[in-house]
Amino acid sequence: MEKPKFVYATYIRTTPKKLWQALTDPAFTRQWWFGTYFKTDWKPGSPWELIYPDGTITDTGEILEATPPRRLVLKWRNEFRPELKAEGYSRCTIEIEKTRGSAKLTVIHAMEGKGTKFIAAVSDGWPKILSNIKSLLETGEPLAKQKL
Amino acid sequence: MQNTEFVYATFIRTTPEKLWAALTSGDSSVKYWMGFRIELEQKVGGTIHIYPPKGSTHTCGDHEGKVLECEPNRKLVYTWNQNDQPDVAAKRSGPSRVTYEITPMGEQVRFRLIHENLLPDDMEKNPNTHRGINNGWPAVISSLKSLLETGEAIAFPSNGGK
Repeated sequence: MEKPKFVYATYIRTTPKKLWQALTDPAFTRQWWFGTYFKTDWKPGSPWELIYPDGTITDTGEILEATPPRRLVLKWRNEFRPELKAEGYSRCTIEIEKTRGSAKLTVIHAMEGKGTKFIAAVSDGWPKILSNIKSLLETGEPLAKQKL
Repeated sequence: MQNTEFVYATFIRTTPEKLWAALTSGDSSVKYWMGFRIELEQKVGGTIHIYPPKGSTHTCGDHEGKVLECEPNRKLVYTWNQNDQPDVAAKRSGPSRVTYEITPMGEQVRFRLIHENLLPDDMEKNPNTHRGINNGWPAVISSLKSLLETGEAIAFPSNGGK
């Protein structure tokens, strides 16, 4: 049985460098991720935390690979919801490619165990988040400042 | 077994009416759908064609299909018929089915695409091409979102390469 996995690709009229910055620089990330941002130094082996506007740590993990502006691999676990935390760690791969006329962003989020609730949750969340990044980079405004 | 499916959701700053118009108009689709022109009779039992660009090397045909459900600005369901290679044609017992679901959410709209009743052969393992249901839809829908939000679609090479 294949492990549960979420795969999503989107094309954004921007450069890989700007897209990398949007994903990793808190000043940008807060603009499209409803005030949330990654707290980390982005070095392989370093820990990371995803921090809500009110300071709550919602997700944590480790930076496994970081090759700006092309590839990021994170070990990822939700801390906020007990049933998701219980499923353990997932592996999130973010790839950025330059294509003619745009940058292609691919997110692959896969469980290490068999749990499916976490993947169901991120399958719902990623399209909203990535739609927001695309709108911000293409129009200067995210779709929503508040969580939908 | 034709139980492979592909689901893709995106959120667009537009209205249900503008999204529906872009999805059902050939003058719009040639901009975001890599030059393909949609012609659609907006009624149950109506026909839909998705014509490849003139002079293209596509062998997929005009996708002639039937409209199964049509609720303007909310939902469209149609059958998807492409010219299969003989080995795939032998496995296919019927056309696949495409659903467009449009949900208003304040100043934005959620667009959900469901493509079901597919064969595993319809999916493409190589991510560096627009061939395959799983590669084609994200490119087309990304370009549609750009068109509706910025007035300009994303131009892709029309023959599946980079």
